[in-house]
Amino acid sequence: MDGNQAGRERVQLRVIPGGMEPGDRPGGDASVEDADHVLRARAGDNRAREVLFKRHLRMLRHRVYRLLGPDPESEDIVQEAFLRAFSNLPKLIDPQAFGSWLSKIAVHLVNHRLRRRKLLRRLGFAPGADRPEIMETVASGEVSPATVTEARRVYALLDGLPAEARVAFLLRHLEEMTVPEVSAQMGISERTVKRRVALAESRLSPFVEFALKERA
Amino acid sequence: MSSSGSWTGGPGTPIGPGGGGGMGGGADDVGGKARLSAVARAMRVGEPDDAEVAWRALQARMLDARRARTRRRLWLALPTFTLAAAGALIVAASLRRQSERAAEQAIEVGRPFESADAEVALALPDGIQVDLDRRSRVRLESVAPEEIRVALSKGSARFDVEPHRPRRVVVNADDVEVRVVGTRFRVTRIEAAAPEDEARIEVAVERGVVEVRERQHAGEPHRLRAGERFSMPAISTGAETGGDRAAGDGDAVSEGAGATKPIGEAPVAPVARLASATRTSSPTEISAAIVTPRRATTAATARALLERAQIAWRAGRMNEAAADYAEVLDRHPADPRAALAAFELGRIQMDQLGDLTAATASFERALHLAPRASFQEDTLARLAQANDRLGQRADCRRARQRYLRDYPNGLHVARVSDLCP
Repeated sequence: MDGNQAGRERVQLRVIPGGMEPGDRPGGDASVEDADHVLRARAGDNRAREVLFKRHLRMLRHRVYRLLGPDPESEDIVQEAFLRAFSNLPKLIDPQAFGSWLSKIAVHLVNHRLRRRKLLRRLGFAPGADRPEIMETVASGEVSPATVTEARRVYALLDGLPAEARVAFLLRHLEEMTVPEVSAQMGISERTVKRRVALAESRLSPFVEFALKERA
Repeated sequence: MSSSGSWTGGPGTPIGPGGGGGMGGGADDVGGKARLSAVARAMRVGEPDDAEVAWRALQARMLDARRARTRRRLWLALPTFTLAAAGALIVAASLRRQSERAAEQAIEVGRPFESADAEVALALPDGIQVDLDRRSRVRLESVAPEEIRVALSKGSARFDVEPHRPRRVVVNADDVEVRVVGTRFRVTRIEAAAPEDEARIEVAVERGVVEVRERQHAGEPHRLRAGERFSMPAISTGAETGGDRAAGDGDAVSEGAGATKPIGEAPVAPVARLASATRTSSPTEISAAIVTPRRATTAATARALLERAQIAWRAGRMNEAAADYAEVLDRHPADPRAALAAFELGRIQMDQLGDLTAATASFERALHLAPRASFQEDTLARLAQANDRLGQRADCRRARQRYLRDYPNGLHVARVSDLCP
């Protein structure tokens, strides 16, 4: 549990994660409103918690689902992140930073889950993420089966990476965060971030095209 | 019934490079490389129109966490009580549960119980329910103030343990130890089909969480959640491989090398003998374990159905989830959660089953059951959308007007306003 650690985090991230459509989410005012709700939630106002939950649910799901790929526990992890955030609210120093703090908690849980997944596989457990139909349940219903298959192929390759390298790589390339942002989210130094990303890049580059923009 | 067939057993199919010429439609221009942009497109999370449902689930979890804390405190405050010596009968199952049972019988601690050609429902102390498959063998290993231990040495059994029991429940099968957190799960010993094969122990979780550990490697336990299963080779050889011998054979139960507490081997208690002894047990002396023929499935509670539906939903078994929600509406129409069940049913009919007519009926029903419920904002938006797609312009307009009237600042205003112009 690193709620207290996370509490010291003050980095302000943009609220819109990469890959979302513009206009999905209000920009700057959101964090100011968040601060208000955080203060009220701290005082025990359940309605304020509900507002925070509904406001950040999509962002957090987006992040967790994309980092984990096909995994039946994604939704559990989203819930767990909120649960930890709400019970550690008093430790959040900058109430405006609720969104990035919440995301940091989730990133920590994702890392943990990825390590557990690897361990389970090594021990002969099925971590659930290996069932082929899981991809269907987490992928958007609006893309072609071919795209889903291709995404699954990328995740199968990502599964071969160490957990930290995978998370750093995806935050950098898929969520399009800067290195300092990735460093803040993962709680590791910028140098380590760069090393992790480089490791992932070198292992993946023969098989994966990183560019997010489609070729004309 | 566990959903066995769907499990692949191994690590994720590693899909190598160049393995998919043309995979991903247009992958040709990148020389067979998979594209990260496919992930960006495939993993786009839509507007969370189940925010209300998710919020309720979270609140339930927060409440559970709080209750667990209170209960732990209560338990610590209770004076410890002494237990009769080994082999004594322990005060056990609740009277209410007992009255549901046709015939009741005691099994002594340490004495194995083996089912014959019929499934048997066992009630252990603390309301633990065990559905024992045919020709399977369990034994109540020990009952202590802090822990109840059960061992499965043959066949398969499903354990149903309510959460927040004061005592820890541990189930052993060979070298595998399952610690129960409050859950339903199945433990199976699969005997080797041929001499060169090995027997296996399998644990499958239906609901909740269990911790599994190998007793020989007293390392970190692994948490298994609903839908996950675990399988490993058995260390001990099977008690018997054929499984076709009648119950009541006087075999001693074989134990794994790592058995924590080998108890003097008692002969298998024959079912017939147990049955005949039934009437002699005094009514005040409640048995340690109560045996009845498997009862007909009792009507599931609304809560259990909703829980089951959620598990099915998460596992992608949409038809099952829909059936469970429909059953809630059928059996528990007056339950406060029926409206939510109707909404969820409609959502599945609309998104997964493609039955828009059924979906509109479900949404109407949800609105009728609880017109003021907070998730009705989503219901109305979806009702308008479904009617729009069906070409039911009048119905669509009605839903749209009601939405815009009731939720002028709602989440879906933009989308709903564009419908059925």
